Amino acid sequence: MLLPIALLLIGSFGETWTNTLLPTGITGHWFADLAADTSFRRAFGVSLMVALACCCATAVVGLPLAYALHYRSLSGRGLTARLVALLPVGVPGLTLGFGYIAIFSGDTLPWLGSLRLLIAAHTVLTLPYLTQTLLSDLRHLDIERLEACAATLGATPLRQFVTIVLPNLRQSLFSGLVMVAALSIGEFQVSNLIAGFRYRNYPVVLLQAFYGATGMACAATVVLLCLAVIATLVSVNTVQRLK
Amino acid sequence: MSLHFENVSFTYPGVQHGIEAVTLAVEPGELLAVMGRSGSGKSTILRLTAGLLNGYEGRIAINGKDVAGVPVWRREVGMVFQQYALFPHLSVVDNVAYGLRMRGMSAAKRRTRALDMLERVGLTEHAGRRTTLLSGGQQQRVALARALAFEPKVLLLDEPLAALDAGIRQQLRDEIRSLQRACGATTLLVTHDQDEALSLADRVAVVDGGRVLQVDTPERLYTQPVSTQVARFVGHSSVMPGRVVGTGAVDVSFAMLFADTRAFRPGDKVDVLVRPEHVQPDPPDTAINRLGGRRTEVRYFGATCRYDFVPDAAQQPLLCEGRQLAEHAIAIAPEHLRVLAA
Repeated sequence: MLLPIALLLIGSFGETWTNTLLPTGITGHWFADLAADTSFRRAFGVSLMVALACCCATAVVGLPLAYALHYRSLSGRGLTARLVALLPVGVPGLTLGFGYIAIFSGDTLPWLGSLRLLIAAHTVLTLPYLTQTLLSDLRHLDIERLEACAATLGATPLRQFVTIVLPNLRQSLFSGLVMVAALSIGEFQVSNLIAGFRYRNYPVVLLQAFYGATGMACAATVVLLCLAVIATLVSVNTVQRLK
Repeated sequence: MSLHFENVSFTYPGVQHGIEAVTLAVEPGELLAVMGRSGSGKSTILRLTAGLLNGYEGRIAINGKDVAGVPVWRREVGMVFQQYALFPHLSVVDNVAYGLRMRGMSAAKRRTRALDMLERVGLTEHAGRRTTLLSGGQQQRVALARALAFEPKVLLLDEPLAALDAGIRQQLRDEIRSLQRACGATTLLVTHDQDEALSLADRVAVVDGGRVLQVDTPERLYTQPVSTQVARFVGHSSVMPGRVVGTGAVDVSFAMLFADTRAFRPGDKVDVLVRPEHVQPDPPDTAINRLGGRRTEVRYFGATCRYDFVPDAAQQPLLCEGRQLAEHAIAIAPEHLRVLAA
């Protein structure tokens, strides 16, 4: 795992890297070129926008979904719903991608290549990760007992959710959303199939960079890597503070 | 405030157990303990009172008002859960103030009231701490303060001491009793622990199989159980199956015992009950209900001993208790033998 990362770091600062084991010369201009490249800048913006929208959508859908699945499982039901909710993890990205093409390339729903389809596809892909994180926390917290207690103290169901469920799920919600953002920013397989030229995300543009200058591609990958590291550090730090 | 159960029945969906035709009354300021084994229906009574279970038959009334259809959050019952159920994201004082916050009390007022409650349970210095940093006993005190802070109509205690060590249990038992009395809260306590029920409650209801077997004061429950089932549940006892053979005489297969049999006719099958402390060791030869035999197992309890004594021709030993151990014979005074329908 460390070897490819080390090679990417070396490659991003290498002057030239053609038919040699390691690059020759040292330079920082790949990062400057990357910053000046409009297609990369645009792709970076698209990725951030999609990740942010995806986080909002998964939070809005995932919280009530996990809550409902938790209570369904307590009553011994909801197995089918849980399996359906987990399906995007098991189904290959290519299958999902071709499914989107089949549905959204027609005249009825001509969304192929649109930003909304990219956001929706990322939401479907990342939703199971958030719901599973929330579900395990709900089980661990024994939330129904806390809610029953809040009810005896005068809290209506809405206030139980707002004053008890939400605050107790804040750690798992935050770490789940960081995971969602990281997955969305790094998503390539489905995005490559459904993103139009206008809304190509960072990994799609990154692949094309490897066909050109290796140093620039390495620098672009290092940026992606840095984002992942920052996300992890922020997640760990925030969860520690919330504890 | 009073609490009444009138002929209340409830069955859990998909299973056969629940409660059946339960009638109970808890008078204002009284502490009634509902005692029973696991699965006897005692927690169902508590959850029905709180409104956490619905779909029952009969009538449940708090202060004379039928609470059918009244949701949990409007019932004004304070409940202490077995595992405390403290809110982990709130401090100790915020936990205690939660019920007041739900009632729209201003932040300053609810803090004052919560601190007052914490003072009563001796936890003022822990007000700002997280509940997870408290010991089990302290957490239970917070749960009690929280349940009483908003002055509920009825206080419900669900096995409040079950999760605590034996050492702290006795101390907390006394604290719960004095706080309940000071607040004058009408209280329903659910427990499987007879020591807890007998020492805390004004009256005790023994439940089994979803039915109330007897409701009485702890003393009467111990001295005058209405059935063998209740007698076996409350305190230690030896039960000898027998048959009434005449006025004041019962044949228990290995001996003829003299006891009060006025409620029975000759030939009736009965159980004869004796408490271990009422067995007299090595009585004079002229003693009534004298039984020769031999002592077997001895268990030392510090201030007293419990031991088994097998009367001649008996299959089962009788449980005896006292500082002096019987060597060759025991006797049981007729007034200490309780004859119950078999």
